[in-house]
Amino acid sequence: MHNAAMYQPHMLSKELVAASTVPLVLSVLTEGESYGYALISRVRELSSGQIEWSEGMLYPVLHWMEKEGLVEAEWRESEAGRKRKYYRISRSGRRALADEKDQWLAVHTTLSRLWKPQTKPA
Amino acid sequence: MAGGAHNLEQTMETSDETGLNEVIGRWRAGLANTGTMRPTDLDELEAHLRDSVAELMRAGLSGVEAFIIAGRRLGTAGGLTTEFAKVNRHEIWLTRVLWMVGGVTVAVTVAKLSSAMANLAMLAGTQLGLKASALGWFALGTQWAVMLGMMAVGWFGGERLFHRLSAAVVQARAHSFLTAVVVLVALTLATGITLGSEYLTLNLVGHSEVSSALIYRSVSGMLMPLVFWPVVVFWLLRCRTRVSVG
Repeated sequence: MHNAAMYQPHMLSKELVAASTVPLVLSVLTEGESYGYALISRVRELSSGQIEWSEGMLYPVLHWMEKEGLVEAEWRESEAGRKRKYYRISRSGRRALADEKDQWLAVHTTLSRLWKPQTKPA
Repeated sequence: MAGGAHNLEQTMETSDETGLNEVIGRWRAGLANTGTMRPTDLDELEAHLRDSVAELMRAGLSGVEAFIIAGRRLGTAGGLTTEFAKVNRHEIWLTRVLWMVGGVTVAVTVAKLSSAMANLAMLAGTQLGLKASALGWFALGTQWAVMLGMMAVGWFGGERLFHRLSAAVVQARAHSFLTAVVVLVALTLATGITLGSEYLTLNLVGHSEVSSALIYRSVSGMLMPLVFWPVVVFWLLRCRTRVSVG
């Protein structure tokens, strides 16, 4: 509910946020293992603030991904001595990401072709 | 003067740190009370919150100010509860069942112990030479005294006992097999103690035919919880495997 109020016109819709969370997480994890807070910061940075997750909601998704075997997780102590749960992409996570990539690219390519005439100056 | 100012600054910093830990503690307890999150979920959310607070404090906010903003970014308790409840559905159910099992065990043990004490009072009463209604009143009085005593313990030690029971439930989730054994042994023993004391009482009072009949009831009474052993053990083992995957 508080989410809707947070949306600005340039921000991703709720449906797109929900659909893109898993491929985004998997893609960030291909850069190396990470933890929740760092994952969110990375996505915010890469999207120039256009993808803003309601931060706490990421964790149930991560736990679901862990249960599905898309990621592996491990509790470790951080430099600051704080306990942190680190996530790593698994082999089946890489396969799932390859599938996602095909699908997102298919949508992207199609939309790009359709929008091309409009974006070109007459 | 400079030293004094420094001290004041230090004191303010410490009180901010203490205040921050206090509000984080309260925030965590509030989420824990929703019953939808595992202790590790709370650890993970708290680590996130503290990372977020640290970053905001580097930007110049006070601890408590940073907490307010970081908490807002993390999400409302309502929103978090809904999302966590979806992935922890099984866990939540297991916790509820464990609370029920704990409640039943406590209630049955209290009831059985008080009637065992009443039986022992009857035994003591016959030794003191009490007869008929005097003996009955004596036993009844003892039973009520024991019941009220236990209720008083529950009432005055309520909060501490509740925390003990909460801790036991957390432990029980990790050791489901042991829990099943402990609960069933406790129920069997409680039944056994009561019926055993009834047997002794009736036998000493002189109703040996009734007391021998009671042996069969004792045995069947003690076997009753045994009927549930395979069911409970199977069910809890199944829970354990599923939970460890999740």
